This record gives sequence, structure tokens and C-alpha cells, in this order.
Amino acid sequence: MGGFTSVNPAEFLGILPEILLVLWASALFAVDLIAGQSLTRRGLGVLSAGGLAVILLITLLTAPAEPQVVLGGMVRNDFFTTAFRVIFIVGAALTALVGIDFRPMRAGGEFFVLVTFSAAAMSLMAGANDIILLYLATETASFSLYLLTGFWRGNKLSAEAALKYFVFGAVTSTAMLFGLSLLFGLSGGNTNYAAIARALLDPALRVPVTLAALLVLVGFAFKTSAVPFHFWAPDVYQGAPTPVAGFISTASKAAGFAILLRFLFYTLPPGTSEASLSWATLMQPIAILTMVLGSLFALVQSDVKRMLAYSSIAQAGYVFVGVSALALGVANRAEAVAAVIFYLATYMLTNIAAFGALGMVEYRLGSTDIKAFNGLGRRAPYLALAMSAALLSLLGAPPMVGFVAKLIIFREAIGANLIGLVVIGIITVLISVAYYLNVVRAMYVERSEDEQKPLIVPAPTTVVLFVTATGILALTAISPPFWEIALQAARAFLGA
Amino acid sequence: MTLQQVIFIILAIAVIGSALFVVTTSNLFRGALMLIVAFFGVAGFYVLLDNGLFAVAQVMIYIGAISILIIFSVMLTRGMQAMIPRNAQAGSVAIAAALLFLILLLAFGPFRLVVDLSGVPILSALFRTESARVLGGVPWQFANREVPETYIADFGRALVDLNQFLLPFLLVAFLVDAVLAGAIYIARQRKPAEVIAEREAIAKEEAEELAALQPQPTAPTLPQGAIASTADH
Amino acid sequence: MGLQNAINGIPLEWYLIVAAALFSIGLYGVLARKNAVAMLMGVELMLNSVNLNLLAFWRYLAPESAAGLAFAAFVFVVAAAETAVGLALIIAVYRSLKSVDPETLTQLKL
Repeated sequence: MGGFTSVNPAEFLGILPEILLVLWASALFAVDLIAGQSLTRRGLGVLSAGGLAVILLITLLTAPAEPQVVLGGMVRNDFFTTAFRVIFIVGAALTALVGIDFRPMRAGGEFFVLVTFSAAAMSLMAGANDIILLYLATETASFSLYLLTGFWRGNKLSAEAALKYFVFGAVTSTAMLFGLSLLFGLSGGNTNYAAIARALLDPALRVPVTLAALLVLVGFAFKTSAVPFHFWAPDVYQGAPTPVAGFISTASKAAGFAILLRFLFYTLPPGTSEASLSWATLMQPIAILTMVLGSLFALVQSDVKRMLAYSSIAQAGYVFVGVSALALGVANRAEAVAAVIFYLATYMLTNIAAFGALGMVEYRLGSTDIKAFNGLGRRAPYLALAMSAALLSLLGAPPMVGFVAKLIIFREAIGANLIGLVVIGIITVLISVAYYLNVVRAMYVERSEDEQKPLIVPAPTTVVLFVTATGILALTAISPPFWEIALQAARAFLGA
Repeated sequence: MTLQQVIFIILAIAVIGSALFVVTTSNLFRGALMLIVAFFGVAGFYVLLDNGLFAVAQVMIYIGAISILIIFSVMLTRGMQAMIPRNAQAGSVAIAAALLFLILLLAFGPFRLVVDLSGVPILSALFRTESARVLGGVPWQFANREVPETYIADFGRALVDLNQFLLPFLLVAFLVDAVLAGAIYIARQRKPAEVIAEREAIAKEEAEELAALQPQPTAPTLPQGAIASTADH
Repeated sequence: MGLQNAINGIPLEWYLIVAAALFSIGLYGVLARKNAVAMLMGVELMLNSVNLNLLAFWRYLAPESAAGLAFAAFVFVVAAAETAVGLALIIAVYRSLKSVDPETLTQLKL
């Protein structure tokens, strides 16, 4: 039993970003209580985004050069964790800003507190190196998101969506927990990833380990909205306040991929045991089903919010192509992980731009139907421009960064000899041309009788749309150094 | 058969029986009461596992807190209770649940079965079986030791030990805080005056925006349907 | 499986079977019911099955380590928080349904 004397407080530096995020969430809560009416909602939102920007800077400055496992093996603080922290913190800051302008939600102090707090929980998910922390961080992030989904009080759909999200989330995370409890027993009472990995090498445990890992996968599939655990996503996104839907579809999904990669690769490394081959085999069918079903359902939606929900399912499918390359390839593992990180980072910027613009349309026009976008190119030129950039990037059209991301993902899949998967992926991309360009067409080609009435975009959303649209274009230009950073994160992930 | 084994079997019948009642009854209130029986039975298992601490914790947390919350929600949402207790997929769900139990029973139960999955299309790929596999009779690494007398003190120390569970302990503390703040925000009843004030605030913000856009003295008109999505009640 | 590995004369597998049964029953409860409170009860049964697993593994495999106990204790906390979130959301839905459209009260589907 370790006493308090053997403790090195410097270990807390390994989770400094998470500590700062939790402290900042608490500070926002206090500021909201003390300031009361004297601080406007906009002031509080800008304050929370500003604080997140400072924390982002500190996270980048304290990025670990060498992977370190801290706090009794709970957290692995490496450059991979840092890369995901950046995704979560940027996502939370942008969500706080667009949250201000989604006025019917009346985002109060609790909104900014929960967004910041869930970013902290997601960072812990990315760093989790122990099944106890994995479960707790996942649940902490999920609970915050269930509540945020229900934050649009007075909107019937919002409460129902939150309840639906909660029930499916509770059942899948408990299935995951049951699997984790079995792995705890199969590894002889260990909770640490490395210790579990050693215990699971025993060939006599093959069948029970596979079953337990399948149960754990249920939880990951829910978080990443992979088929067949995707069906909650469209209803939840539709009912949720649009900025929250953007946050769930990007940051929460990225966190799901972070735990999936970390858990599966660290406890059941591909190629070391037969049990590990089971999950590797599953990744390819999941990728195919998620891409195909997401694209096909997106095609038949007339509501842009539901279309974006199905599109984000399809986008998860492309990430699973990268995961398949990691699972089944041997030579290009680092590149496959880097492709996943690259994709998730660019997808975060892109989808938050799309949901930000959509939220503004929903609030001003009271509808997310495709007809609401008619003539938007004349009513709100900059908003339409940002939305077009986001949609083209989601489609993967050059010169948007989504093109580079898809190219890299498919390149690594070919490197892992997954030609069939790439062919199916390209077919779904071609399908997606129809539904992404349909919105662009509505904005610029279709006419509307309200064309003369400008649609005012408030300053915070303008800033978000400017930052994300610039990012979508600029990241293409600087993609080589950006790729090097992703590769560095991938090497830290693979490095023992 | 020893006394403990008899107690175990009685507890198992009580727990599983009451759990089955909970998920099948159409009377939610009775279901909630039977849930308490199931929780008590699980506490009994903890006693058989030489863990008095968790037996007490089970009674206090599950029966003292969680059951009360559930009974509270049953009472509160009386009008919402569907008369049909099960949905349309109940039959297939029952088969799936039974199948899951069977698989878990075979894989983690005491019986050793040798199965050859190599011919079965999906399963052979999933379990990578080129040859026969053994189901059940998992070779657990038994410790064969008594529970240390100081297990409660050790557990308490481990929770606040930086090298063990301090981080998850702090995380759940914040989890409960954040969840309560959010839950209160969502569940709090809003007065009509509050809703009206919110709408007025939105209208005011929109009017200010328009004024900033068009500084002319002509009365600005709101874009059509600008506040349509704020329709509340 | 000799009885030398049994605690109080009970083999580990007995606990695992009860836990698996409880888990499957709880899962059925969540997926087959229409009512949100009934679903919440199913989730609680599933969480109990996890704790039964964890404490059985703790007793049989690693009684000197606090890991199983800590894990189970955290599951207690999560279960309590989950019930609180569930109750808040159920109340929110109930309110919006009650005030918006009484016809839908018995139509709530999840």
C-alpha cells in the first residue's frame, strides 16, 4: 500500500489540461452565480471561449515530448492525448460561441459549464490507460451531453431527444461495463491496460475474451455512432439544440474513436493473439455498413439537420476505414493512426461550421428543411459561403481540407491492401455528392420570395464561421506540416 | 449441500424471480417494489462474498437512494404510464436476451464444451477458429486467500492514494456536481413570467441587431418568422 | 472445478451465472418496455449484475487488491448519477408533453 510519502505531486502535471478545464468549468459556474444579471449571456460565452483558448495554449506549451504514464497508471499522457485534447478544447470553444447565438436555447451559465466540463471528460477518455478511468470518463462525458441535449427548454423535441439519447447511452455503456467487468476477471483482477494485455495472451481465454471484447465494442460503437448502433443519432441530432448536435457529432465522436483505438490497441494488440484478430476482422464490415447506410439514408432526407446527422454517420465510416487499416495493415500502422487523427481534426472544424450555419438558419427561419436554404446565398452571403465550404469539405472536394483527409485515409487503406474497402468508400463519396450539393444548389440556384430580407448573423457566430471556413481552406495549404504533427501523435500512440 | 449453498440458491431464486417480475409487470409501482427485493438479494450475495461493507452500501445506496428516486418518478409521471407494458419488438427482444444469457452461460459457466465453429460462416471468422474451441470452464486464476481483515481501511486508503484511485475518485466527485447542476436546470419548473421574459429578451436582442444594421429612424421590421422557433407552450 | 476454489462452498461460476441472468433480464427490460421509468429499472438491474461480477472476481481472484472494490464503488456512484439524470429528463419530457399535447401522453415511444 503506497502511502502519501511516495507521491510525486509533479505527476499532476500530466493531466494539467484536464485540471485546468475542470477548474475553469467551476470558475464559470461561480462567475455565473456571483455576476448574475450584470454579465450578459454573450459576455459569459465569450469569457468561457476565451478561457478555453488560454487552456489550449497551455496544452500546446506543455505537450509531452516523451509518453509518460501518470497517477498510478491511470492516464497515459502522450502526444496522441494532446492531439485529441486540442480537438476537444477547440470544439468546446467553438460550441460555446455558437451556443450564444442559438437564442431560443437561452444558453445560461450551466451550458458553458457543461460544455467545458465535458471537454475535460473527453480529454480523460483520450488519455485513459485503465478500464476504471475509461468507464468513468466516458460516462462523465455522456451525462454532460445527455443534459446538454435537453437544454432547449420549452422545445418538446429537445427533451424527448435527450431521454432517447440517455436510454440508448445508458444501455450501451452498461453493456460495455459488463464486458469490462468480465475482462477484469479474465485478467485476474487487473484494471490497467498493459496488465490486461499480458493476461489476455493466454490462448485458453480466447473465446471468453472475444465475447467480453464484443460487449465493450458495443459501447464504442454507440459513441462513434457506428452501424448497427447508429439509430439514435438522427433523432437526437434533430431534437438537440443545433450547437449541441454539432458538439456531439464532432468532439464526442472523436472521443469515441480515441477510446476505441487506445483500448483495443493496448489491451488486444493486433497480431499478438488470436482474440485480437476478432476485433480487427470486425472493423472492415463496420466501416462498410456505416459508410453505405449513412450515405443512403442521407440521400433521402429533405430536412438538412437529419441529412447532416446521417452524413456524420457516414463520416464515421470513413474513420473506420482508417481504423481497419490500423487493424489489418502491418507496415503502415503509424500512418493509419495519423490518418484517423487528421480526419477527426478536420472533420471537427468542418462539421462545427456546418452545424453553426445550420443553427443560425434554424433560429432565424424556424425550420431546417431544405426549403429554408432557398436563396440563402443572397440573404446571408458569408454564412452561405461558410456553409458551402463546410459541405464541400464534408464531401471531400478539392481544395477543401476534407479532400486531403479522405485522400490520406484511402491511401493508408490501400497501403494495408484494403482495395475493396476503398472502392466502396469512393462509391459512397460519389453518392454523397448528391445530398451535399443539393444544399449548395438550394442556397445559390433556388430563389425565394424573402430574398430581399437579409438574414443577420451575430458576431460570435460570424467569428466561428470565419475561423472554421478559413481553417478548412488554410489547412489544405499547410497540410504537410499538419500531417507531420498527426504522424508524431501516431508514433507516440504506438511507442511502447 | 452446505447451508451457504442453500442460502445462495434461495437468494438466486429471489433475485431472478423479482427481476423477471420487474421487467414484465404492467404495474410500475409494484415493479419498483420488487426492484427493492432484487436489490436486497444482491446485498445478500455480497454478504456471502464476505463483503459486509458493500452489502451495507448496496442497501443504503440502491434501496435508500436509487429505489426512492425510481418510486418518486413512478408517482410523478402517473399520467404518462403506458397501459401496454411492452413494445412491438418484445418477442424478438426476449429471444435475443435469452440467447445472450445462453452464450454467457456456455462461455463463463462451469461446463466444458468442445465446439467446432470452423464450418460456421460468420462465427468462424469472428472467433478465428481453424480448429475446435473449448467453451466454458474458464481457467480463472484463483487466489485462494481470505479477505484481509483490514480490507475496508485498505480500500479507503486506495481511494485517496495518488498512485491508485485518487483521479477516478475526484472525477466522480465532479461528475456528481456537474450532473446535479445540469439536472436541476433541466427539471426546474419555469414560471410563465420567466418564459415571457425570455421571449422579450430575445425580441430585444433582435431589435438591437436590426437597429445596428439600419440606423435610419424608420421602424425596423423583424424578418418573417424570426421568433417562430421560440414558440414555447 | 474442485471445491478447493470455492468460497463458503460456492463456486465462482454460480455468481457469474446469476450476474449473466440479471444482465439479460435487465437488457430485456430496457429494450422491450415502452415506459421510460421501466427502462430505467432495467438499467439498474444491469448495473447490479456488473457489481455482482466485480465483487465475485474481487473475492475469488484478488481479495487483497482494492481494484475490484474501487471499481464497484464507482459503479454505485455512476448508478446514482444515472438515476438523477434519468429522473430529470423524464420530468422534462413529462412537462413538455403535459403542457403541449395531452393526447400523446400514452403514445410516448422511445
